[in-house]
Amino acid sequence: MKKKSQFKAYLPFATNVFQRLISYKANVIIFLFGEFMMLATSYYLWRAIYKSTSNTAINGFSLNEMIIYVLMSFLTSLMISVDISYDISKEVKDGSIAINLIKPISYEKRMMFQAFGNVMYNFVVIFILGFTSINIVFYKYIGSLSIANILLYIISTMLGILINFYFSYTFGLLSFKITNMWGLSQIMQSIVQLLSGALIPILFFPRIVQKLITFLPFSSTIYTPTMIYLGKLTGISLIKALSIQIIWIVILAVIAKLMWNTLVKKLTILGG
Amino acid sequence: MIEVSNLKKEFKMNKKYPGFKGAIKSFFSREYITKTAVDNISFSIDKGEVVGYIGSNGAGKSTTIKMMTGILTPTEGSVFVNGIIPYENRQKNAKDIGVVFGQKTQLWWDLPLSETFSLLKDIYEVDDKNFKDRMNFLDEVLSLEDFMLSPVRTLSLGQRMRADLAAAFIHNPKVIYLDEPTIGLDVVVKDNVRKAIKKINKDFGTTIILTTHDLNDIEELCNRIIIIDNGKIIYDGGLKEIKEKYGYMTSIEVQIKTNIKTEDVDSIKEANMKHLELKVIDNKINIRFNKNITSTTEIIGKLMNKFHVIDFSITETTIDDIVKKLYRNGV
Repeated sequence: MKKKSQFKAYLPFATNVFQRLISYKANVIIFLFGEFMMLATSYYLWRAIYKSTSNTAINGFSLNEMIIYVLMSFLTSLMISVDISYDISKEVKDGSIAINLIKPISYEKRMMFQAFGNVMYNFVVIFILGFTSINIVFYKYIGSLSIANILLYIISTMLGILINFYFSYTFGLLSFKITNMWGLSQIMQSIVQLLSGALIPILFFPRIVQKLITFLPFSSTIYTPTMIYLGKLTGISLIKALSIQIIWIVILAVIAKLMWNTLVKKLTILGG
Repeated sequence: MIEVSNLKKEFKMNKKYPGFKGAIKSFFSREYITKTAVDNISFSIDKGEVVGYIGSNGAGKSTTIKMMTGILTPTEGSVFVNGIIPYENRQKNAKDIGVVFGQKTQLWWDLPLSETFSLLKDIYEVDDKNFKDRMNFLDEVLSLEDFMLSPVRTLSLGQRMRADLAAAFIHNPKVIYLDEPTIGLDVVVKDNVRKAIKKINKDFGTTIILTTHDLNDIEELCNRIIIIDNGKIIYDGGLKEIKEKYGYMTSIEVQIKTNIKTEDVDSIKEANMKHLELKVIDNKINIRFNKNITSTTEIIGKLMNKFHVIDFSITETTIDDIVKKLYRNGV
């Protein structure tokens, strides 16, 4: 009963974000168009790369697999990327965080529900159509679809969403101390892009760097689900990858709690 | 109910130098200046009190309120609200308090007003019956009915403020903090808001702490005022006492049928009226005097005997004047 009413108290934060996002239709179309251009660029880039080499596979990726990788990692990054740190730093900057802190609700939970609202939006607007299309492409290229891989992909993506949330939330909490986060968040975005496997598969990095990257949370957000979908992670390595995801969720959640406890004391409410 | 002792809040700021060169210099410097916003203040407030917390801009009012609501942690000292330390137990404290920040709204901007209330109902876990009763009460004192279904962004400032006040009260908090609740409102709405605050206090025994720059708010609502300047309390006590102590100068303006000579007027100054300040302009006499020594009726009586008085008006020192005086030289 207690749990249920708690859920009721936070749910509006999710639906509110969803409603707000979906009301900006032109924004959606322009955004999708821009992203499509990006996608086309990497498609032709990889084609050119494969044409210029005599090998049919690079690092174990055939051209067809590479195209699916590009599409899928792209879709996954759209699905999971929820910039909660932006919301937090905005609230700190304009002082509206004060209003939220005088409510008897947990800031972390509230932000999580806001993130879920955003994820729901991504799911409805981008994911359903994108995922169906990619599955069709996959079937055309490879000739068969693995239901197990699709299900595992969805589980892994959900874990990725949580990792991304906790990372973004923790990062956002820094704005309690550093008021203007813009520069820092630009740097962070580029690092995440590179290390999450959104630009190129992590297999393309030198072996030592690969090892290092697998131990960072970023590859668990996009690279892991995409590789699972492609069927490139099986058996032990699959279990290992999923475990690493779960471990990261726990670690980041603990860091988030610790950060909150220290930083909330340092918070300066601006304005008013 | 509320116990504030030796409260202190310091803000550390990067030292800034003026001009473009200064901007570069402060970018590289690690020098900090410490600003003390609230400096060692103590007071306690009982249940059901309505306390006006006043001071000039930047005196430390809002900082104190923020520490009492638990969103700022003091540098030194402590706050207890209902036995809870607000900044250590923020969520628990939040259940028992209501807050209105006049400059910020807590209403959901894009949703109809009624939605905000049902969201708050879930957040504060108010049961159906209490919610209904309270909504009826609030609708009665703040007349929310007309704009209950409009999206909050379309409300006028006056409507928004009434709604904000209602939102702060929906869970029947023990304490309400009102940070400039009448800022930017017209006279009629101000009056409505004040009446509502008064009624909430009377009917529910809610403790109310109010900061404002509008001293009419104070005169209408508060039985006690705390004046703060530069982070320090310079006055804490009843409104009546401060008026007696600092507001004893009263002036009377009398209008007389014919023109008068100063000598005529001077004759009313008797032994106990030496301190009178007299000014004569055409057929008007302006008298300033100390109410504690001479009574108004005595002077009026004298004037009536001597002259043909058409009209008179009495101006007492307003709280405004007192506060101005206090800000300038402290107590």
